[in-house]
Amino acid sequence: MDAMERLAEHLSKRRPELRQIKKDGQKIIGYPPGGYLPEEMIYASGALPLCLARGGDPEPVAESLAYIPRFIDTFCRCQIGYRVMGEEVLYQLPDLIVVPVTDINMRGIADVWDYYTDVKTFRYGVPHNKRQDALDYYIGSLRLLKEKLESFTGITITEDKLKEEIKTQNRMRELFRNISQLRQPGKTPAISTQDFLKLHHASFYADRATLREILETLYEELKQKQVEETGKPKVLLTASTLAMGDYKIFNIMNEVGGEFIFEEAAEGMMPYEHEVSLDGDPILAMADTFFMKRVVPAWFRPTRERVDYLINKAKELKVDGLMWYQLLYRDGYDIQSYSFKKEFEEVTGLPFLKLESDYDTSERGQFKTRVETFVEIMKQRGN
Amino acid sequence: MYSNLFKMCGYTDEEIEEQRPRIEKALERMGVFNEAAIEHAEKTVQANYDVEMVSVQKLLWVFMHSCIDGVLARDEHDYVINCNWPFPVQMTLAMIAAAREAGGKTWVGMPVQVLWMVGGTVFDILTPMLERGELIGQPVGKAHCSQYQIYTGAIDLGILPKPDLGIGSGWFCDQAAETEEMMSELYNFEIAYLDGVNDWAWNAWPNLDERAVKYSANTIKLALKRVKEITGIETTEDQLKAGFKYVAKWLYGMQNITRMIGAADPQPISQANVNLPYGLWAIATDYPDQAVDGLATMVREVKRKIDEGEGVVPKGAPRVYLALRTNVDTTPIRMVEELGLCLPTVFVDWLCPQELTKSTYTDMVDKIAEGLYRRPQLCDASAALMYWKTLCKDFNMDAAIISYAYNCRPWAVDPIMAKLDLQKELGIPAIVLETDGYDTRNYSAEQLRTRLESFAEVVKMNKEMKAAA
Repeated sequence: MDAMERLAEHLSKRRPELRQIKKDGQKIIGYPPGGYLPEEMIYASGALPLCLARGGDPEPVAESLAYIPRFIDTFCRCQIGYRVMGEEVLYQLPDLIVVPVTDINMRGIADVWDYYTDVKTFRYGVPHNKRQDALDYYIGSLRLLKEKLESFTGITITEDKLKEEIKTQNRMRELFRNISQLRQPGKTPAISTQDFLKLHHASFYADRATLREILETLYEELKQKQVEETGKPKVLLTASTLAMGDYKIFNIMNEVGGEFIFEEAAEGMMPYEHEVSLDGDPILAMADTFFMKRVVPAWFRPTRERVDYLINKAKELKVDGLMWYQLLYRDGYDIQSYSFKKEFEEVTGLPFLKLESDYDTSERGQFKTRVETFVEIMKQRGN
Repeated sequence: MYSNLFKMCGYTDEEIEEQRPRIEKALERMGVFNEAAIEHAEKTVQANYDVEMVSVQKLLWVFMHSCIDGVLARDEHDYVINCNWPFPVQMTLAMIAAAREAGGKTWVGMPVQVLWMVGGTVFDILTPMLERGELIGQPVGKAHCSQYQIYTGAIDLGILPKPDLGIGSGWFCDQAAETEEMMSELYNFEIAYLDGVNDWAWNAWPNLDERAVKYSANTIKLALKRVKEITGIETTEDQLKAGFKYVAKWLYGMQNITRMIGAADPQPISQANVNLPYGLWAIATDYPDQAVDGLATMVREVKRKIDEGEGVVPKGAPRVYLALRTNVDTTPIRMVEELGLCLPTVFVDWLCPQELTKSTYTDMVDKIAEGLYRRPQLCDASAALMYWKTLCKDFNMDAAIISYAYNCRPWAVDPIMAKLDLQKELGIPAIVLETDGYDTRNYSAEQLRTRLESFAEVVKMNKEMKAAA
């Protein structure tokens, strides 16, 4: 059995396992994706982190309309749908929801949990720039989170315990990084971007030790894998949210003969590009990794760092084009795409395609036509 | 050609004569220096306001002057500093005073907000600006903030000048700052962002987390510092205090009007007219004395109308709360009144008791930041819910129209919660309506009327049944 099959088998049993864990008394802390919450802190408190990242289904979107108006980002809006429909076990498990408030859409998630459910939230704000006062605020937020987790679980988070968890998480990050680095500029990757993304999604609820073992094996398998160059156009993907289950664009890209070779997303991936230092105050070290070093999302101001990152990434990876995938009403992405497109095309000379989803089934046809044309353009330019 | 219009807006003949070159230059730039546009403006302003009220004329005077100043800011000053909504008025007033004391080389103001009041309720010229804004990063159909579409469009069309520094509002919503960021990339001007983190715990309001208040306050300080670096203008503590005093005076006058209208039966004036003092509560002006005079005049006029038993709706009409002021067009307000519903207060005109508790902060800028979040709708959903419930109880409302700006992300979270809360906890009927504060194309008065007519019938019937019981 190869590593991916083992992972699938593990995940198929994971929901009942989590139910049992909760029944046995371990606290489960839910949180939305976004990369601003260090999971090591939750592990150090004796609780289990559970990233609530489901998306891509039209039904929860429709269901959410009874609770929140439709003008909030699709992913954020549909979160209440997953909870109230009751079909997704993961959304029934949290004892507490921690929401790093990055923008109003994310705050909306906290508001609906507070208003419509009996699960309480703990919120902390993520400032929108990387000045010293903003960093200080984020550091303060992490200290408050530590206090909250301690009072909620009754377990003191010691520095030693936290560092131990950071070390474990660093190994997880390293494994993700190692696997990611197997993707070579301009080459067909050893692991598809969709599978790589699924590993991230697995990390949101899989048993950590099991996942770590699987990632170790997978890395070894991938290193040995002989990859045949497909000659397909190579695409860099950037997204506001890549939710667990929202794989429409990957399937379409595959169908029309292109391939993603790298992805950047504000939400939906485990932050893996940087380790947390084990020197000094662990809170400061986590703030450095999770706030200062990560690529800023489009709602940051200034946001030049993100623009430069994507342009440099496109050059470095020798891609043939960039796809910008955003969810409806995520205004930061919609607004930034306007000036970004101009600059990206001017600087790189590469084509740019923007797709916007509301997790609606009817989008598929239109998406396919547009991606098909995009791939054709890249092919023609490649000849 | 335009004398009659300007007289409706409180200008005297002498003033029109004296200001003629400036007026004509500004009208030209706004695309309304022609007879048809002026004729249309005369009709528009009369449809929006009761221009026979002296207070309305006086307040319109302040808006017209401020609008012309904003349009001509680049022609008349070396530096232009724009402050964008939602924005601390005290801070803008202090900067205006500092700029004036420094000799007037720098112009500071809130030109976009003035432009949408004048461009909407006087000239009715916002659509081309909105359309242009839709072409610049805020496409139609994506629920972008129409206020910021106007901002983008007005600058791109050359109606408003490109500033040297924009002080952007990112403390309350994201769209404002995101649009500013795009503008700075496209038009190459600098933005100083006021930032906020919006992480208030549910039901924490009005006990605001000091850490978050101080963070926002620091961004205000940094913006003031940047203004000094660019223009040499230093805003002093005394100027900030004076800004506070002005706002306090304004709050007092507004609350007087709100209380008088709220307690009167019949409702003495249309809430459409209160658009003007509301606007000047939230928009800093270079003409504070004239604004206060206009407000005081309105207080007197409302009192006189109450004393004389004048009313715009029948006596004993059901009392309804309307949750949004459509700033650029008062027809939805008038339509509710025409349906025979009394509007004792609308939008956020009223200050609820929780807002009025004394600040414990001593630093002026901290006070400003705290003051912003003390307004419940500018804080979070739980605060807004508390405000609506308190207001509906306090004003003995029979029903609520939760009209909300669909394209305002922070305000698009809680309308359904509000409806449920008011129905369950207060037992009053409530209706949720999608509307828009700045783009009249996004709602049709007739469509609203169809929905509200049946709602009005239910409300009237409820009231009669209660009275009979």
